[in-house]
Amino acid sequence: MTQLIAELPASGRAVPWYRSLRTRLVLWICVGCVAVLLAATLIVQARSARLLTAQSEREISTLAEQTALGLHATLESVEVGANTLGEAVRGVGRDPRTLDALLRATVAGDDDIAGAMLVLEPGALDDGDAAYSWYVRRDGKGYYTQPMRSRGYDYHDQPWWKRTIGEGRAWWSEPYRNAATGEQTFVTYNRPIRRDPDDHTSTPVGMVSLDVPVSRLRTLIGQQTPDSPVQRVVLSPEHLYVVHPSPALELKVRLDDRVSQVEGRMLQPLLDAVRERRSADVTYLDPTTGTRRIGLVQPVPDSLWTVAVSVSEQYAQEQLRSTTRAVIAGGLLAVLVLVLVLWLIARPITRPLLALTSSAGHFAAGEFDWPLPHTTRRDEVGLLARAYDRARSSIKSQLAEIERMARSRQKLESELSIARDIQLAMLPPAPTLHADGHCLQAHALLEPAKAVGGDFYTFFVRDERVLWFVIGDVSDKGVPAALFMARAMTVLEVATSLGGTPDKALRVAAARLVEGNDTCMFATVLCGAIDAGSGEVVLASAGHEAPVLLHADGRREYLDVPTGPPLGVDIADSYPLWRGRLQPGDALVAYTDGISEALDGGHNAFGTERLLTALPVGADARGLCEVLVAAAHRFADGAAQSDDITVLALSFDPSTGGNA
Amino acid sequence: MELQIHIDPPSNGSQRIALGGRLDTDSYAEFDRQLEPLLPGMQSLLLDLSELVYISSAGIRSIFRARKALAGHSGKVLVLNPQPQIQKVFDVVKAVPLNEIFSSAAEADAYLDAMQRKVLRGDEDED
Repeated sequence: MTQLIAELPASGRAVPWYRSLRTRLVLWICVGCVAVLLAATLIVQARSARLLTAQSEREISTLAEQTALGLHATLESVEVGANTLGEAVRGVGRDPRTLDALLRATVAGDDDIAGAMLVLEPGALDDGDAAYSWYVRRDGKGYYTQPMRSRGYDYHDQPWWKRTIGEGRAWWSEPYRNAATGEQTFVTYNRPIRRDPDDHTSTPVGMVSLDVPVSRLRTLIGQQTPDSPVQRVVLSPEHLYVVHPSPALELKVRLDDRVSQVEGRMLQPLLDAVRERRSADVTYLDPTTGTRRIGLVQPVPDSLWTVAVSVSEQYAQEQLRSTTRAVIAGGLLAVLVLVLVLWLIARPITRPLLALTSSAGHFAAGEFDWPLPHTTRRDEVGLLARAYDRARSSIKSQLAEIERMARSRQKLESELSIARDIQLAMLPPAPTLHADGHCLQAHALLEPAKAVGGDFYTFFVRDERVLWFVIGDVSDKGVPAALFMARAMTVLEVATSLGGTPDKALRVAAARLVEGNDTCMFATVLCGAIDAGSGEVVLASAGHEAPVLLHADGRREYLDVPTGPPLGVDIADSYPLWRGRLQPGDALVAYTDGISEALDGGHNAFGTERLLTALPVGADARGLCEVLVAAAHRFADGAAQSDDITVLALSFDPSTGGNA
Repeated sequence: MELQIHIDPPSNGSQRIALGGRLDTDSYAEFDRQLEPLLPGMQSLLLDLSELVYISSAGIRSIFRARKALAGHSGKVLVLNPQPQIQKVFDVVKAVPLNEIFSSAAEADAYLDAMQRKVLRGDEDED
């Protein structure tokens, strides 16, 4: 029994991690969390998109203002420098060396200023003043100087002089470069000097100008490339791109030129705003990169300079995307932490299950007393453990019951084995008779289908020359049949010993066996007597199968013996007696239905035809029995023997001088 | 092939039971179990064996028992229409008297009627 249980699949082993409840629990919660996270992120992203766009517009607006203020501060410091220079000239006297030092100090005092120029007409400030014109420019560690009036060059011819004197007010030049600037690009602040500084209507008598390198402005704006998401632009008073990330535009193109081109037309609102000195923004398609940008112009206060800032929409969305990425990354990190926590939480759930499984594995191996943990827990694990416990008790008691049954069955089998020995011992040895030069040889074979059976045969010899034989078959098989068989044999032995003929013996036996036979067991019996000298045979049948007569020449036939009722049921008045005579070489074969109704696997019976043809010619009684039984077994071909098998054969031959 | 048992409703103390398949050592107990409660008070049992293909000695014994039970109160077991191999067994074993085997229900009914009349006449004679 333990063997049988041990064949159950080994359940003590832990399940692989990917099948574990713990994994599934964690996995599904994790999937749920990620789904919630993604959904929340999508909702937040959709809602934030507009917010962020507005915010980025505010951002560039602020950026533009800051840039404008930064530029304003620079420009203003230059303008203050020019004012200071212009006014200082009045106080320090007109000594050229002093004025040169003043110019150098101006240049040295402000990093934004690369060059300074002072022009005073003769008698400009005092009537006796000589004309003065001088230009100082920072050149490496030293200074480059030149007069503004020399052979072949007169400042009076320069447009900047004409404009400063003509307009009588300060102005910023457009970017320019020439030999005097040392091939740097400058923007220059020009300021007129009047004899009376408070009289703004009088004609100027001189001017100062301060040079600011465009590179300083570029540094101020900050390094940028055409790919920068945020681009800052500085427009000169005449709307030239002084600082622009695109080298194709910087210092080459004016905003007006750009607007006049087809692809720059959408920048018209910006140009309008620049002209009107107000801030404005517009969303446009950048023709060089093909991306949409938000552009904004911001006038620099107190000047004609303008700052423009543009940002690509992608940049604004990029902020959103980076925010989203941060949220998702943070969320995933949180999920990871959750997974770890769950993994730890799930341990106490799965561990008792594994412990129970391990115990169950020991039960499967037949170790029913292996300790079963967790039976006192009050949760589902406890329920399971108690269920296991009950199952274990049930199996144990059932195993005990099975063992008890096995023992009693063993006892029964051993008893049956003894009963079988007793029953087989009741069967007499087959005699061989010699009389009048003839030999009558008998043989019988009996094979019960179970340990004991209901078939029987018996022989006895009367007057040393008459062989009586009986073959019988009790209904059904097994122990009841065996008991009835024993009784039937006893009754028949008594009945045949009374003398007379087989029919009379059957009648006596029938009367005896009916008595008290409430179970209606019955036996079919063929009873006969053969004279070993003459071969004369008399037969009487109580419902038994017809015997076969095997002639010496090989002919074979069923003897048409009339039958009476079987023994045990009806009391017949008489049984018909059949008389015949065996010729030398003849044989008589009687059998029970264990032969004629031997079944093969398909429930087909061996049948009387096969029985007849199976009998060999010229065999003695023993040979006939053995061949017939073997033929029946061969026919059954392994199918369980359905009934007790008995064959009884008598061969009648000329005597071979045997010694019986 | 399993044993098939078809029990008709009883009529006037007469019971018709049709058997099919095999009545042998594996199936006779079931037949006995179903027959047992019907036997008391049954006047005649008509066994229709037209579908029965095999009967073993255990099956014969069941019929003997039925006969014996009915004989206790003068009842009879009649057999209807057995197949040749069953008839042959009956011929040899005499499970039922040969004159109580019929090839049609009408014959069996006529026989039963005659029996009944005989019983009634006997009763009148006794009165």
